[in-house]
Amino acid sequence: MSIDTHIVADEPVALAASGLSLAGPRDFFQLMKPRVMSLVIFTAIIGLLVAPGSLPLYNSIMAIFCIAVGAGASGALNMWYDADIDAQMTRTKKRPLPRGIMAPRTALTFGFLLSVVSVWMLGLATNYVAAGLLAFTIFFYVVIYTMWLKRRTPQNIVIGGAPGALPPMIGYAAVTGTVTLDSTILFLIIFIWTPPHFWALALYKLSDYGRVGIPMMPNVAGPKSTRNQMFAYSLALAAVCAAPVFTGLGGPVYAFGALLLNLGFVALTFKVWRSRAGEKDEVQPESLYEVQKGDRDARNLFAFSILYLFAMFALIGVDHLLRGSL
Amino acid sequence: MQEYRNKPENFVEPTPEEIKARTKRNIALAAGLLIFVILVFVTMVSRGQLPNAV
Repeated sequence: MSIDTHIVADEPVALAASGLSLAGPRDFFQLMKPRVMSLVIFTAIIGLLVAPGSLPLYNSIMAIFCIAVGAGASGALNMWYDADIDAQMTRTKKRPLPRGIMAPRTALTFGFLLSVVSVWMLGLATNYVAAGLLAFTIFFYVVIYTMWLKRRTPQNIVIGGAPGALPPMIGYAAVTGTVTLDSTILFLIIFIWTPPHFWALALYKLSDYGRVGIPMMPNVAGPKSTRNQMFAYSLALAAVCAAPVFTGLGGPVYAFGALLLNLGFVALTFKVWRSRAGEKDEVQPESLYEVQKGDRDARNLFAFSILYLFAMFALIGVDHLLRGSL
Repeated sequence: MQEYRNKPENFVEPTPEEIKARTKRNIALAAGLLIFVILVFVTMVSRGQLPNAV
């Protein structure tokens, strides 16, 4: 495997003449991608909740805290490496590094320190299987996805979806100290969900990715092929979501809710499949949810897909609690 | 005695905003370190890794 030679850490940054940066704690928090972190925390909590066995409350809180910090650390390392392309994309140009208020080396140090601390603390608070999985997650996101795949292949987010899918498995392993079929199913739900989720965004933010040379599926294979693949993934996702019913991870409440949610997901993906989303190449709006006419279906799917994942994991958790109380 | 540290040749007075930002960073760093030490201690106690702990 060869890694990009592009390194941003030593590039000069437009700091003030005094050499002091204007970055405050809020900017460091911004480096940790708090919006992504919220999904990580939520799915990790569900993994921890549905795992057989129990963990003392303090250790459970520590496990979630460490997983969140580890995810934040990989976000900071990702922003360090991608500062050059972040500066050119409307969605990311307001991040702390493109704004020039922080030296790239600071983000690198911050991300590296948090990585080490979060993995070590998770091992201390729970077990070293969970800590190993967290270390693997950070490594995969930073090295395999950010440095290797992201700028090279349109399959970047398919393979790169793995680290985003690992938090519930880590939460589960924090309790059991092992990887099981059920924790693999939790992983697969997020893993298969990732391509249609990101490609929906890529379809209506096509020029943004194209301008910076990121080979997203719509740029490389074309919008039509992307829409076909998204539809195939939505069917695969529905199949994976049925698995918990057979393994005992999900009960009747889960089965009913998952059926409705997946019907919605497949229906919205079907609408995208029939649309002409991504087939215009004009300057695209700045906001994440603003779209050009024609891309509305892709925007709707992107918005729904976030709600979908939260709802799916909430269902798994609620179903588990309901069955436990009966 | 030889002084090995680099001496600033052109010292530029930091602006009040820069000093304010630095103070905030320092406070956050101190708080972070304090929380880290407390968490390590409590975690080790909770795992029974401090034999003489209460």
